[in-house]
Amino acid sequence: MTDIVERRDDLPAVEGDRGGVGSVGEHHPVRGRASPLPRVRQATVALVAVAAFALCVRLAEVDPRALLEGLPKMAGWAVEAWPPSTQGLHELLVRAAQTVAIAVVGTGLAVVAALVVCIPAARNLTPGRGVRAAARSLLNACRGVDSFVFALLFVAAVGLGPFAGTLGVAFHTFGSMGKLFAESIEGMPRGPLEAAELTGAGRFRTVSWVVLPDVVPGLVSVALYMLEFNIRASIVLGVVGAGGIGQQLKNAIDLLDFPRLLTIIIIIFVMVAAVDTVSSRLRAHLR
Amino acid sequence: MSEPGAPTLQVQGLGHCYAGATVLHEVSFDVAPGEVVAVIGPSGAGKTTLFRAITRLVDPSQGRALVDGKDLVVLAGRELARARRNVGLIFQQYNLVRRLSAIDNVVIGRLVHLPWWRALLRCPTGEERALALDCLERVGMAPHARARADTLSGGQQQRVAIARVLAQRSSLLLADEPVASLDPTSAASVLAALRAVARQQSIAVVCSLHQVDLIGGFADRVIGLRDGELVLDVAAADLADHHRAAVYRARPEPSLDCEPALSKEG
Ligand SMILES: Nc1ncnc2c1ncn2[C@@H]1O[C@H](COP(=O)(O)OP(=O)(O)OP(=O)(O)O)[C@@H](O)[C@H]1O
Ligand SMILES: [Mg+2]
Repeated sequence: MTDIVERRDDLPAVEGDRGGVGSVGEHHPVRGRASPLPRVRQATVALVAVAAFALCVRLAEVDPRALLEGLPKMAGWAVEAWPPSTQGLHELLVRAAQTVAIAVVGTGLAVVAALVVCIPAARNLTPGRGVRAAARSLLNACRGVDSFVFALLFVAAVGLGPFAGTLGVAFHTFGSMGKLFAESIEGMPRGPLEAAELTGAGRFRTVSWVVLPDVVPGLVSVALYMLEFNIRASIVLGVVGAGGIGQQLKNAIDLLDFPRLLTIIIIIFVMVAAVDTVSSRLRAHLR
Repeated sequence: MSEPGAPTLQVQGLGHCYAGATVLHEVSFDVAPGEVVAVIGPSGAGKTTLFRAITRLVDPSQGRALVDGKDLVVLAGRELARARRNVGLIFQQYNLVRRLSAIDNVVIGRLVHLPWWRALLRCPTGEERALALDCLERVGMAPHARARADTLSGGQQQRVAIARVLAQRSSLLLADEPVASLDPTSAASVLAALRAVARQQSIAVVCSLHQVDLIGGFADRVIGLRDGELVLDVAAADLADHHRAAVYRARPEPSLDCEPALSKEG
């Protein structure tokens, strides 16, 4: 009881800070309960949050002095890097194309696998709980492991090069995409499915004729989005030896070859922008 | 097919509960081949539930629903799918695939007969396509065969849905308020089309209606549902005002039931 009285006494002060709405709280005790926490508690929460953040700053070994010393170094590189080198430009362009290829093939393989597994994973197509749980776990497992980690594993298994990167992209994307596909299918209206079910048609025919036409714009949109994401991912994959422009990037940094580095960065920028533009144009056309 | 003269549909003591509330109480009736039965009843009487229970879109809590002598209630999996080919259902909300053309929606009625690769490529045989077009023709929708379903009006969509069920060539046709969204002229022509297929192909038709005045000239028999119970089963020709009154009679108000008790206390 006293607790409520105290809170109500607190209200005008708290809300007064926000400028003039305090009187509303006074007249409506019910509203008062939904209003911000009392000051003491607010302060405690803020203090704990600040302390937690400070701890994280320590753990992340944030060191402004290192940054201050490092910045001029970077500025020096920028000066050194100009003009970007055109030496071996052809090789770089081929590597860039390789990066795009890793993303495209990886995403493509993932689309095929995701289309198969999203059907047992979708609640409205698969009534059996066991099958659905198995499909979902497979998708979640693949989604939980980053393409970077998959690529490391595949480099060990199939050797250095773009194929390992492609497999890495494919496996992770399969997990994410299968889950999004399944959700897309679960969002479709139930009526047309029931109508098809009542004709006695099996699942394959129903999916082909009734489900796919309805969900295809959603699926294509998801696939294009994943492709955009995978272009960036496959650049990073080069760093673990999966080929592509990322590998050239790492080599240039290791050799402190700044003009070449600048060229690579420009190529990456153009490449990512081009894919994003094409992909978002295509997605806008979906209806 | 069972022996000639046997009813196409036999509903025996069919009941259904939603979350403990019984909405269908031991409903029983038969429908002969070629017979047209109208189902009337106020909103919430259980008409949709009756159709969903017969087709096993919901699992009935009791009773049997025999189509051509096969009890759908006890079937499962492939056998249920096979038995369902003999049952066509026209839904209250059409249930077309929005992004498919009218004719592709009608082909859904033939889906089970298409080779798997034709289903995948969405490329029916010329024969199936002609049949689908013929079904559209019968409901007056042939001129809109290529139109996408979501560009059609409600009434047009319902006619496409009817064509889809006609394409299925089932021996039993269930229709849940098929003309509720049609103008009077197209309502009459759609019901006439349903009656014609019933007669020509000896299909049993069970059709729920809200417009009682449409029954004459359409149905052979009328059954009435109220609060999930079958309260009427008469020949359409004998349908009289007191029958309608029995079906549509206002439910007794709970407060009325309480009044005597209150006055006793007071
Ligand atoms: N999915 C459901 N879950 C729970 N109750 C339901 C469900 N569907 C229907 N009901 C209830 O079952 C009863 C019968 O509903 P039903 O849809 O069969 O009536 P209806 O005769 O088709 O009505 P209308 O003429 O309005 O279409 C109603 O009381 C309704 O509230
Ligand atoms: Mg209904």
